[in-house]
Amino acid sequence: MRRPFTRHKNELVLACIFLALFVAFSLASANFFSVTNVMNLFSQMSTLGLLTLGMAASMISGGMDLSVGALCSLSTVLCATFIGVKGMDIALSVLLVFALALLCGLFNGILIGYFKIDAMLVTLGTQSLFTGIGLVISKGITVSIPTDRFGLFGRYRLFGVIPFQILLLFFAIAVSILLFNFRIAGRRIYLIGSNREVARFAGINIPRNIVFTYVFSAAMAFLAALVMASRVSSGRADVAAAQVLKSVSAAVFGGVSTLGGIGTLGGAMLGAAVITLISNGMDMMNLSTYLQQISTGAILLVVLAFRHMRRK
Amino acid sequence: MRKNPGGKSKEIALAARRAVVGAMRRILKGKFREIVLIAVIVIIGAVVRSIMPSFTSRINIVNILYGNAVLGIMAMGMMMVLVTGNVDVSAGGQYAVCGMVVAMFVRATGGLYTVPAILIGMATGLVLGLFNGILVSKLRIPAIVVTLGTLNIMRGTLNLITSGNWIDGLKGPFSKFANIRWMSLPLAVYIWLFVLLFTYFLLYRTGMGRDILAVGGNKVAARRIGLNESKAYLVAFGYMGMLTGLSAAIACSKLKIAQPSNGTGYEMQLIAACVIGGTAFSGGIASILGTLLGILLLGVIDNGLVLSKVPVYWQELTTGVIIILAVASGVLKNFGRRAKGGTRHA
Repeated sequence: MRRPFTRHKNELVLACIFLALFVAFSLASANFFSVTNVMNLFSQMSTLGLLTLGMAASMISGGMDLSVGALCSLSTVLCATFIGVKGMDIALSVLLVFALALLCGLFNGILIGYFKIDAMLVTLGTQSLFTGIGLVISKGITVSIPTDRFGLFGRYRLFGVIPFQILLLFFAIAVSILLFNFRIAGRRIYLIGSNREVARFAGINIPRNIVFTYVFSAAMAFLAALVMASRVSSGRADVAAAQVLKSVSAAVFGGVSTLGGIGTLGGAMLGAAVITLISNGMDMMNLSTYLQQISTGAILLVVLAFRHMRRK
Repeated sequence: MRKNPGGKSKEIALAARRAVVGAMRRILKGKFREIVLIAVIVIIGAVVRSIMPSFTSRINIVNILYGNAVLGIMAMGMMMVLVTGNVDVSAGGQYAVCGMVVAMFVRATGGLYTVPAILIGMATGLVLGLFNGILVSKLRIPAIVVTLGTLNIMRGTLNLITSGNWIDGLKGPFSKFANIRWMSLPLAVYIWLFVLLFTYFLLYRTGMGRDILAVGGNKVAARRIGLNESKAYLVAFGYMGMLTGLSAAIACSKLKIAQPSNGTGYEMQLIAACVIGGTAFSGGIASILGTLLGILLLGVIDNGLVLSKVPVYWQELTTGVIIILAVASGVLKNFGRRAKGGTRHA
């Protein structure tokens, strides 16, 4: 009976932090605890959560995908260009952008997996590359989507209450956790991340699994892009640039190690939830965004320091 | 026997050639990447010059050097951090904090005290850098995560204190020091040159530098022979912070304005320049000349695109392509360097 507790101690601690903060914000702010705001909270979490899924997956494999933000931004630009400027069919454009995003992920994966270049270096380069392509396509301005039919991913609410993006996020989380924690494919990626040498001797095709990881990360970036583009009916080449470091923070916060092989996607999601909760709660208390920035950084360091002390 | 003056001079010529070739070999040994970088810069320069002849004018070349001195100085610090096997993504935040501190001091004193202003900038940077260094070496959290946290704290605190307002209209002697010209080159470029030489001296001519290279090259081996890795980390992060402060002071003097949002994205440019120049992400390998060429390559591309009137949004794309090519090229022929973990001269 003790096993689930000891195995998922980190996740439990995070869940407790989440609940404690939730209660604290409910007491501190009159507007915080309402159906509308809780729905808002999860909507705000959806983009960061999706990007963090990809980031955490790449970190578990022993690398780090710094290009998720750029790829997400590029996808919003592509969506906006296909639908808004070219006037293409929405379903067709979405599929096309999905294919292009997967191609970008494939590019990352091939350079990292088959050419064996350091993941951070590759994605640092592709970050510039994807942002650059987005800037060139959009000519550096915001591309708007005039039609209202694209609102499904970012504005539509099921029964007028539950935002569709939350369902999208939960669907993505469920599929990812199933894939990474209950399938052999995911276990392989864990093994590659914790010890590449052993993984090789175990007969695992490392390049192919690395490619899979970065394609998965690209797919998550694409989903986040759908939500972002639909939310504001536009695309911009730097719209998700600030999300990259945030998603790294969320993943690390959730217990994913930057050295690979350690941590769970569920933990990473809790990390993203806590970070979103802090910014939402502070918004509701009318505290400045700068203070949010400081507290996010400070909490990250304190939690890590605490975790380190316990390990000693 | 008949004298053969022709043979004698031939012999001398042969010996001279052998000496020259030998010297060249020694100088160029293991510098394949640097040679390629120089070639790429020359080719890009030639292309831009054919479009816009003013590219190679003395004024423009001085402009490129002057414009990149700030990043060039910081890149030496970033290289130092990368050599230890760490990375500092808070560079932009440090730069902004130092810039604001210097600007406040300059505004308060009317810009009369140039050297104290620079020293205050460097001291501020040193404190911030040591803060990073202590967290990394004592808590043993990966540097990217630590500096991510401190970046947030630095930027947030700065924005909170200044409420996002900038300080402009810096006056007095301070606002002119970076552009004091000697032989048509501004002082900032000489400072850059001095920092390059100083970094070379620090890294290859002192025991501390050797320790830093050793710790970065093989942490376990360095620990076994009794090297203090915490000290190496502290020196590297402190050096990074100090140079960031120096750069921020130069930028203040050059632009006569300091903003809390200054230096956004600098960290990525610095890392890119170091990586293009052949500094290994895994630590232990440094190249001062390569880093310098990396900065110049990015600077020449930017300048060339502006002069050729290419729309500004192409810059990011070209930078990305160059980084990927540079990184990929390193794999195709490991560029004549020794096995991973080996150290190498600048």
